[in-house]
Order: sequence, then C-alpha cells, then structure tokens
Amino acid sequence: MKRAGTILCTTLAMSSFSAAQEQAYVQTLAEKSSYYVQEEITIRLRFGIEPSFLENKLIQPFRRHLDLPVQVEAVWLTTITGTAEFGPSFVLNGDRQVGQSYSDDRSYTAAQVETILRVAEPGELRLSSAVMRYAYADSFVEDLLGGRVPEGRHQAVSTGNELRLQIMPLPVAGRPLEFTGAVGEFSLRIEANPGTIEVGESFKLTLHLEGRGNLDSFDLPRLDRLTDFHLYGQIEERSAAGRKVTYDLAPLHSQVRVFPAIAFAYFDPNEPASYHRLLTEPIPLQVIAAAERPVRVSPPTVDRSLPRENDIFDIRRVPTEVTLVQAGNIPPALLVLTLLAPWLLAAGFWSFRRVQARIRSRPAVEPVRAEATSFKQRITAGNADLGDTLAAYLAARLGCQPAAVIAPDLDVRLIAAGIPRELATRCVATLDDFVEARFGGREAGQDGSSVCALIDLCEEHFSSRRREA
Amino acid sequence: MIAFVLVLLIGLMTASISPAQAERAYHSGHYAEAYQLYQQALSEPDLAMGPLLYNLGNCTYRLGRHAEALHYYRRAQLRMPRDAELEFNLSLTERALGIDPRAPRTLIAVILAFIDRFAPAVLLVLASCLQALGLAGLLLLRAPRSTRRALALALLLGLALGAHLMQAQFFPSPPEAITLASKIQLRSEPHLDLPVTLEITAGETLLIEDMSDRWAHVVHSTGSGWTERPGIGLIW
Repeated sequence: MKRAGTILCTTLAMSSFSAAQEQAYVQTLAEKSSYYVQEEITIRLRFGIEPSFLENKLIQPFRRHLDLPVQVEAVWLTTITGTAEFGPSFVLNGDRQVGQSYSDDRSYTAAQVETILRVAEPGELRLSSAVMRYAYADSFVEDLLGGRVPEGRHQAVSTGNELRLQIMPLPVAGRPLEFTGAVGEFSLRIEANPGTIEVGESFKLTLHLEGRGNLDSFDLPRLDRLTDFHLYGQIEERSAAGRKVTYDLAPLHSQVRVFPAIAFAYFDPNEPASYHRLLTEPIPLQVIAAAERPVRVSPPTVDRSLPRENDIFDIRRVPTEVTLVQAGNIPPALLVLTLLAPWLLAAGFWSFRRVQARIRSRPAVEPVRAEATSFKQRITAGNADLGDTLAAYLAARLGCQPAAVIAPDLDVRLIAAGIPRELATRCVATLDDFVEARFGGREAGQDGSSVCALIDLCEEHFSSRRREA
Repeated sequence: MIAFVLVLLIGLMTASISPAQAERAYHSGHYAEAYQLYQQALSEPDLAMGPLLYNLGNCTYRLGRHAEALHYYRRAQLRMPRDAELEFNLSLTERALGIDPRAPRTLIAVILAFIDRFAPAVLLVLASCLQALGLAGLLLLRAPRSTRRALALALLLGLALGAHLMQAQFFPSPPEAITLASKIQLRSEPHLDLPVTLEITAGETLLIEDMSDRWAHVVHSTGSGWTERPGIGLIW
C-alpha cells in the first residue's frame, strides 16, 4: 500500500489551479489526516465544471454522451463504493462510470466517487494527484450532417491535490489478550440451546459478529482449546454485515455445568480511540453421563493368540513413510496395458501359429521358375532322372506333391492350369513314357533336350497366364 | 547469546514433531497430549500415515471418543488392509458403540471385501498372471479336458479380477464417512428449517453422494438425506 504523509490543506490544493482550470477542478479528500492500521479510510474524489463552460464549451470525447465530458485519472482508485444508480456519467481510469451528484459551494456541476482503503502497516499513505482531462472549443457551429461541430479545439488538464495520510500503529498499552486484529465497531451475540445433553453428545453454538470494520482481516475466537469441551468442527458464513460461525461442541464430562463466556476484543479508532472487550453470556448446561452400553467382546476373529481379549492393542511405532502402493495409485494407462498384455500376446501367438499352419499345409513349392531352371540344369548335368524331375516340375506348377502328379486326370488338371490340350496330352504321354520305361525295363523314348523343350513350352503358357491374371 | 542458542534449539526441536514424544505421553497415560502430538505429526510429510492414524484411533479410544476412534481406524485400514491388530481394535470399537459387526452380508460382498484386503498392485499382477496362464494353457497345451477346464477357470478368475480393478479405477464407489457426533439429523433438503427425517447415531457408516462446504447428502442402510458436515468424518 502507499505511504502516507501529512495532508495538504484543501485551500492549498485549490490555489494551484491555473487560469484555464478555473472552469474545472478535481480534489482528493479524506475525513482525517491520520488513521490507524486497518482502519477504514474513506477517500472521496470530487470534480466539478463551471455550468456555462460545460454547456457552451466542452466537447464530448466519445460518441456516447457523457454528463460530464471529462476523463479522470487516479491510479489509486481501483474500487468504487457507494455509486448512485442515477448520477452524472464520466470516464474514470478509462472506463465509463456514474458518480454521485455533488453540490459544491461554487455551484459547479460536480460529481464525486468514494473508495475505502485499509492500510496494513504504519507509515505514510500517499495518494498521487488525480488528473482530469477535457477538451473545449472556442465556439460551435451547427452542421446539417455532423450536428454541433466544434471550432477551435483545445485540450486542457486539471490536476488535483496529492493526499498524504499518516497511518499509526495500534497502541500496545491496554491491548486485551483476546485481541486478534479487529479494528472498527462491532457487536457480538451468541445463540445456543443445548438443553440436557449426554457426555460426548454434540450441540450447536452460533456466534454472530456484526459491525463495520476490517471484518475479513482477523480471527474469530477459537474454541478448540477449552478443557471441558471438544470441538468437532465449525462452519463460518460471511456477509457484508458481519460473520457468523456455528460451532459443533460436546462436553467431555458430566461435571460441566456451564459453557463459558466467549471474549472478543476490538479496537475502535473513533475518538477516543481505545480497545473494547466483548463478552457473551455464559450458557448453562445440564450434562448427564452417557448411558452404559454393554460391551460384548467376542474372541478376535483372527487365527492367532492375542495378548489382550477385552482391550485394544497398544500403539505402534510410526516409521518413516516408504513407497507404499495405496488404494487407487496405479496409473490408469498402466492398469489397462497390464490387463491387455496377455491378450495381445495371445493374439500375436495365435496369428503366428495360423500362419505357420497355413505354410505347413501347402506343398513345399519352390518358385516355379527356379524349379524349371533347376530341372534343365539337372538335365544338362546328366545326373537327373528325367521322369522324376518332370513330375517334380509339373507338381510345382499344379501345386501338389510329386506323387500326386501321376494320375488319370493329369491332362485335365494341366488344361485347368492353362496348358493347351495338345501340350497337356504331350506332357502326359512323355510322363507315361518315362513310367513305362522305368517299370518296363526299356529305354525312354524322350531325351533330355526334348523334355527341356517341353518344359519351355509349358513355362511360356504358365507365364502368359500369370501375366493375364 | 546463550538465550539465543536456547531459543534456536527449542525452535529446532519443535519444528518437527517426533512420534516418540507422543508415544511417551501415551504410555504415561496422557492420552489428550498424545492425541495432540499425533495430530501435529499428521502434517509431517515423511511419516507413515497408516500407523499414525492407528495411534490416533487408540488415543481417541482411550479418551472415550469411540466414534472418532472408529473414524481413525477406518482411515488407517485403507493403508493397512490386512492388519490383524487394527481389525481387532476396530471390532472392539464397534462393539463399544453398539454396532453389530456381524451383520449378514452377501457372498459377493464377502468375496469383494476379501479381495480389497490386497494392494491394487498385487491384484493387478495376479489378474495378469491368471489370464496369461489361462490363455497360454488353452492355446499351447494339448491337455486333458479337466486341465483345460482348470485353465479356463483361471482365465475367468483373471478376467473377473481385472474387471474389478477397472471398476475401482474408472467407476469408483462413493466415498464413505463415519458419524462422529453422538447423533446426526438428516433432512430432505440442505436447510435447517426443514423437519428431521432420520437420526443416525455415532459410529455408523455412511455413503457420501453429494457434498457442499456445509452440507453432505448421505446414504445409510436405514435411509438417506442431507446432514451438516461437522457431524461426519470422511474416510480417506
């Protein structure tokens, strides 16, 4: 907050106006020159304009009409209190505001705004000068299109007074023990109707603190240290008028006869400034012992021998916290991934096994081109059985085992695979020749070169069909 | 100078509350003092919360505040789910409050209560292992029918555990609370002007469905309604 100093006299501030500023003025005022810490300080910002000057000379700064066409700047004015619903409008700190009409002794058209400050530390509060800017014209002419148009435009500034206030610390002498920083004027009352209650039974006690002052800046009386009562909890409500706290208390023994008075202390800065101590009325109580309840103690449900059977176990040492996995500490992503992991692995493994099974169920087929080439290479090398290698080649092309090639429907399968009928018949005849030669004990009628040529013809047809596909 | 050093030492000593001080106070019979010291130790970041809450339960039990003791024990149970001594103290406190701990429960509730005694990480590992075992066995092994049935059962158990963990993670149950005041009053709406619809005695377990800064909507086995928050203690 700002530092405070000695207040300047209002007349001194007024005498600082220049000639051009005699038609307008701006003032910053406070009721006193010195305040206490946390005391409410009402600051009024007043400004006025000579009526004929306002009517005949001032230029509206914006399209929207202002009752007082001025722009006031006061950097310390952040919150306005007590604005009127219907008052003169003007611009304050860049925003359109509505102030309170004010009648000064010079019959100016004037307005004022108020703000309330509280200073937390002693020293000097210095509020810089407020500045009022406005524009005026030498004269106006009426324009059919633009309306009232100014001629000879001038800018003017009115500077107000700097305000310095002395902020004093709260006196130490006479400060009650219960004082927690309340400054202002307050009243205290208590509400409770406990009636007859048992030991440990809760009852509600409501404390109402009302008044004017720094309501939000101090602690209310604490009831958690009463020796005869236990405080379960408290709920506080705050409003502009005051604070209300509801305590939930319970007596600790049946010898309690009264709830003691609650003390609250505050400092009233009004003359003569002094501390005040408020006491609530003690509240009579009738506390009875809690009804005896039979404590049926069964043997413990755990399967071990215990040192006590009708009393709780002893306390235990409290170690330093180690990394414990507590309820709900597993990150959600980790939880989902860990639960899905077995299924993902199973799905991957199952897919792998299906692929393997599909491969195993198909005959071992080498790329057929390589099969044809290797057949011819074996023929050329002269160490191949022509019939077996021809059968192996046809098996590779038909997608079956070599033993399945030699069958009555070989020609049909060759034709279905794309071999022309004549060529298919020739393949069958060649293969039959080799079979008969093997089992008939004679030489085969085909040699390697003719079989190679046969294979080449077959390859041409298989290749052309593959290209067509 | 000496005074300065003494003040500094005192400040250092009181800067962190030692549970040993509270332990000495408890064993000397100064339960209120031990309670205060353990309460202050709650704000120490390096101390294990489970034993701390357990000891607070003991202190309040000794002070005759059984509802508060039950509250602390239930909170400690979240952190020490398989502690036999804690369970015994809890059951003894419930008996002191006149709460029947042997209320009949469904089989599923019993099973779920047994499962919740284990840490979530342990349950997660168990669920994954059961699922992995079941899947691996069913996919890889050419086992007899009885073995395959056992593997399928393991898979189902793993799935059930996984579903329970997912439900706890993404659809958690409403929080629970304990009635701390000797009697709390429930109303149909959160207004003191309304008539009381139900009264619940100390130590009863409540489910919290809704909460504001002053009121809580609670559900009890005998009914539901709004009650003021100071009379209940959340189990967390």
